Amino acid sequence: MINLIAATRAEADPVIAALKLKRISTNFDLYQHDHIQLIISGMGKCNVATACGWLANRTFNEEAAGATSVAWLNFGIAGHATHELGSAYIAHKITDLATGELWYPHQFSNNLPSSELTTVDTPLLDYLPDQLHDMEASSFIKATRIFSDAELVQCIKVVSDNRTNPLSAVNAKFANSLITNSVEMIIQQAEQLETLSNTIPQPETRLFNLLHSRWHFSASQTTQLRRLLQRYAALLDSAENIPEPLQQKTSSKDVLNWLKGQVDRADISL
Amino acid sequence: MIHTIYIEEEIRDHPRTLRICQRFPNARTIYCERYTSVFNNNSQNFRLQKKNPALILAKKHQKYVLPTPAGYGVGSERNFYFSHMLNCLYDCRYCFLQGMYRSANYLIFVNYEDFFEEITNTASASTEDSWFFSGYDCDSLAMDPVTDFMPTALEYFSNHPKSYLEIRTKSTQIRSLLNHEAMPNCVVAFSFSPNNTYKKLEHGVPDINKRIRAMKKLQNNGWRLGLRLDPVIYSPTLQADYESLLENIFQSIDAKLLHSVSYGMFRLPKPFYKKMIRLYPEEKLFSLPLTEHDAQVSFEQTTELSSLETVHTALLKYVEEKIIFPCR
Repeated sequence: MINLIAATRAEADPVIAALKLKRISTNFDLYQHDHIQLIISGMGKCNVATACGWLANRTFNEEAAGATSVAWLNFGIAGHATHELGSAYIAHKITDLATGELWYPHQFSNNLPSSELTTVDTPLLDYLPDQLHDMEASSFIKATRIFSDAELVQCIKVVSDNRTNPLSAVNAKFANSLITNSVEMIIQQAEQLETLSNTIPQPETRLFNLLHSRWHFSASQTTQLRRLLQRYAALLDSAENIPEPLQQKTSSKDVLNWLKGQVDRADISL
Repeated sequence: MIHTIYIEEEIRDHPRTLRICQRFPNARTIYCERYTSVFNNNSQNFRLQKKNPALILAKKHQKYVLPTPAGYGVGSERNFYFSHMLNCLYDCRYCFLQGMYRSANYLIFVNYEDFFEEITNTASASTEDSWFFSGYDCDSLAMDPVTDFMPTALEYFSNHPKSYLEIRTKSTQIRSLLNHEAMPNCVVAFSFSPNNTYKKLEHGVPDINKRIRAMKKLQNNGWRLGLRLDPVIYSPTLQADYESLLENIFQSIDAKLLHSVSYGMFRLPKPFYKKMIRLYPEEKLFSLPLTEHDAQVSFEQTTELSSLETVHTALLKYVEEKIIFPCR
């Protein structure tokens, strides 16, 4: 699954259209199609942190219970003193100007140009040397790294203003056109990130849910059950249904004992 | 191979930094204040990073040389290790580095001279010989064409005959050794597992026969060799597997010239083992019936003892007891 975050509708619309996403929530502007979610957070650090927290709760606890691996991509416009308007960059260092905190998003390739990115609370009078400026990235990365592995969290920014084309000239229509021109690249990055996320093995949930709903397991037994099912899948088989001998068991203890017997007696050649 | 290089500001103009960067002209260069901002952060995932590791160039400031864990050594009383590099080019599924670090990026400390200064200080604290093991937190030779560490290390140790160097490796990158005269105080120790373990668990490691050929070249050039069979992983065909491996090795290598052989059972500190299960839940090795004893997770003691005895017996066909050292 991949979660996309944009600050404004103008930035989000080209991606929503390209991916044919449908609006599904009124709490936040949330759009979805299959395994892709896009949320419009609003501008600024506070808005993006709130949106990421809300979306994480929805992703992990409601819609995709059991999901353990979710990728996050923040995309939008940013200023830079000298970079050409419309040029796109993946962030390789993100600094929060107010707090001094910094992050280095893992770089998986050098196919796309990269840049330092500084998040500011209010627009600056002049640009800092050789770095992009936005108002959300530091908050986005801080919030999402709580929920996902650092490698699955990335930011892409498209240059909207520079010293010769000031921020005051940037409006919604212009922002929309900049993202429209980069939409293919943004989607490509999102797909690569999701592919990476899918390489993390998902825990066995079907058999776990079947067993857990049929017998009562205490908290510590639940932990044992998860680990035994993991070993069962690695050593014997990824059972989709309750194995026949377990059907006769009358207690959770018997279930655990049977599973333990099976994995301990399994062929232990590699 | 390397697409991103992180460089600490402090060493951005260090000659080794400049030389290493020259090897990767297309790599993206990112400067950072301290390597700890990039290496081993809480939310990093070793498995994901291992798909495409970056290179980090940094300066180490302390603890260049550390005492080895108990039971690690080849006969000497004074055993130390040092790591000019953290992490390995290879991807052996049993390797403890996966449990020790959250980051799979290759970290190279470019201030080699500081390591040698501390080695000098450590060795001079006693009149006895001291052993210094390289290849504990990395493979000693696999990245040598990049690090160019070995020529500097060999030069240092050739001038310090009471300090012994063990170069532990699974690599065939032996050019820097062949370019140097063999040294009596240096042992090149090659690690091996039987073929089926190699195929299933030692991802990216050079072929067994290629490593044997590298050993033979070194032995022909007068280098002292070590053989390391660690970890030993139980298998129902363990005896045949090790007999076949040793026969293969000693068809080419003169056992009488061997400096030492060591072996040890597969074992992991419990926190490392738990972390490795989370990284590779589908890995059969971590689902075998392992138990916890002596603060380590390993095979049950009866399995362990019989496996080690089998390996020991297989070794005695080729080498004398006095050069065999079990590791615990």
